[in-house]
Amino acid sequence: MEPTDETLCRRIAAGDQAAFDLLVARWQRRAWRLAWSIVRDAEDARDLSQEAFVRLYQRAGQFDGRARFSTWFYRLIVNVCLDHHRRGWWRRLLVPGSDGDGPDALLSRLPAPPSDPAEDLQREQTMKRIWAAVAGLPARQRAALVLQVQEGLETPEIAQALGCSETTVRVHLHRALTTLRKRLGTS
Amino acid sequence: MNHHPTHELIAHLRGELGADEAAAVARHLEGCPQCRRERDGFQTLLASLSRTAPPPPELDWGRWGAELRARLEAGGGRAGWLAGRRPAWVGLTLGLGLLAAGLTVPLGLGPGRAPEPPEPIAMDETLVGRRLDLLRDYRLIERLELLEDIEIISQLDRLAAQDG
Repeated sequence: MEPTDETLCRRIAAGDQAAFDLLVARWQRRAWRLAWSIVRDAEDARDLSQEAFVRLYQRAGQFDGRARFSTWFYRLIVNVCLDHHRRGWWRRLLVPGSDGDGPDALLSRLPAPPSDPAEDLQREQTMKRIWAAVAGLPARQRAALVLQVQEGLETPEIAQALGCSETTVRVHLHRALTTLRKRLGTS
Repeated sequence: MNHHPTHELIAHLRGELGADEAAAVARHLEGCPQCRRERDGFQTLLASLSRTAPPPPELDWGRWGAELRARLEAGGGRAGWLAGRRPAWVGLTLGLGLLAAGLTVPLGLGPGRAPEPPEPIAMDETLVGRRLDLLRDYRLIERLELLEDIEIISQLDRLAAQDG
């Protein structure tokens, strides 16, 4: 029987390298996907996803098992990404569009569309527009939205991941969707 | 429910509200076309987002894993960064402390004590300063000399490495 994530985390705290390797293998793609969804830059996301595992390795002893490992680790990843976003405030201030808020920058960083010829061109354009608008949201709103629609977390889990109340999560989501509707002209 | 439950609409869509709260929101929606429109708009948008979430770019996982191992071996990245800068940080703190001490003594801000009798060398400097009209700026000269000492102290690590 495969050990649970919680069990592996406890083993990591006890110095079990193999447990860490196994947990990395399980979570590396999700960490990468979430980091990229929040910061929308491949190089930064690669660095931040690694940083999340470094913090996991250093702080495994702090996982007390009261929350699920997934929630605890999502919080690590989100904090790493939000810290990175805060550190980059000067760059966004001095270099307009450096954070990818401009539509061209955002679209240029989206992955290439799938080459399936059956893909609907209009759906493709809509996807680009929607997610370009998501990339322009404030970091915490973007994180809350991504955790919900992409990772499938429920509001209590999102609240734990963001370190805030469930009411605050609802506010983040409401503001995020209201902003998106305005930008997409669907209000 | 008299107010518009705008912040509860998304939770209501996802079935995350408790029974009482969900019933209250449902009753409000029955009589509020504005909130129904907002709910429908949110529902459409959430469905689009869930359906169209772009996958991240492809990643070389072998390289990613090697980089992670390197960071862990380097002490987790953050500790390594601090270790590389520790000598300069220590030097700066020492320098600032000496500067503070150097400034407080001439300004009389340090612990009060009776002025010591001038030493022969200090007397010579006083005479020179008077002769060269530098006496008024003697405290400035004293601080400049102290700053020069601080510069030397901050470079001790480099100088020691050169000698070594």
